[in-house]
Amino acid sequence: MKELKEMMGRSFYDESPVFVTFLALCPLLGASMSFNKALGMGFFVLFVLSISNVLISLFCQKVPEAVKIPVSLSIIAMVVTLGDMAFELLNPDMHFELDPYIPLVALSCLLLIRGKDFASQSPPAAAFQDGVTLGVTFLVGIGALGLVRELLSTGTIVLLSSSFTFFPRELFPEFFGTPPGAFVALGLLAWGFSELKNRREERIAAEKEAGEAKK
Amino acid sequence: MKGIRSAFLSVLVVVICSGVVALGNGFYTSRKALLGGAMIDEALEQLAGIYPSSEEAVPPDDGEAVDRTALLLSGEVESVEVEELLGYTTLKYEFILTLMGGATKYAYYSSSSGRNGKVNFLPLLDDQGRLENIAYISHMETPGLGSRIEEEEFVDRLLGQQASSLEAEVISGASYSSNAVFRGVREAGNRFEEGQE
Repeated sequence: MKELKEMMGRSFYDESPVFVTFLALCPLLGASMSFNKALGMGFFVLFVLSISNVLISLFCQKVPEAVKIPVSLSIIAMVVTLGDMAFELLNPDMHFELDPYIPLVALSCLLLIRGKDFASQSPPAAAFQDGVTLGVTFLVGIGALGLVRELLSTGTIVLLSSSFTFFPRELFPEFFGTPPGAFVALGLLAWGFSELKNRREERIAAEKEAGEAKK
Repeated sequence: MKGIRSAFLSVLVVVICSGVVALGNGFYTSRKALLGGAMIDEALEQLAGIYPSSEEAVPPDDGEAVDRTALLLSGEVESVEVEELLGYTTLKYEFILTLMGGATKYAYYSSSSGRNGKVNFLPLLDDQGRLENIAYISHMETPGLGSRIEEEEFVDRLLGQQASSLEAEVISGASYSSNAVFRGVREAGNRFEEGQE
């Protein structure tokens, strides 16, 4: 349990594709206009990342270094295409909304970098674990961005078919729903995230110091 | 030798991946046809609301689905023709209805992107391409804001206009939802004009 907590913490604070490495910006900014859409995209990336990591780990360990990238790309393209079809059949309404951004996930550096650098050199179980932790980190990041953008642009949060109004819409213009507003919202969240990260590092350093002083 | 092995392995993986995608595509196509049938059924249900049938839509005892086409034809509609529209971004199906008096009406299953999700609706045009009615099938727009597209006050402002060049004021605070309706109606109007040429 402690190991899992540490791994999630490391993945969230040091490797977050949304706030630290800024990978997969295309689906991230395009699909975060509302909380519902952001969750849809987040779960899709989580699915694709974990499945493609396992397949890359199974196939690429026996493949020479020279062809690791083309093989990884073929596997990612296959998983994204199948995921796209399954998504459309399972939730056609949500798929219609995310339609232009879903195939773009195949071109996301996040999947290729993770597949080539980690999954292709690790056993399938570790690759799956890595895909899930990073996918959950992405889901949390895009969910937070979708939540902030929807709340600031409409004053209301719509979750599935329930709606929660927090303040009148007239309080803010629709700026955060637009593409430039997405960059500003991401910048604000990244600022908040780095503050959170700094506090965590300070706390860990203080704990270390206290531990050494005891010894 | 190593080069040949690398090339063989990459080709093998590409072939396996393509095979799996082709298998998935077969399953996807068959399932999608079923989804299309459900969409036609939803649209016919709305049309039956506009042109009430002489019979009541009571599900048969044996659990089979209601035959909506038969119900529609039992009212003032003489014939209904359904056509799948390919290559359109928001339109899925066209319904050409011939009424008892000989008038022809055109309805389109339209899906536009609103604020929170897809807005599915059915613009009904007369034989001159003017908007005659809008029947909403489903949407997820914010209650009290985007959901006001269903209000009579909004719909009445649009009726009677030429669908392909529809111009109207958006609902204050629900511009995404209003524009979703305008886009769908305009595309239906364009499709109608193409069909008349």
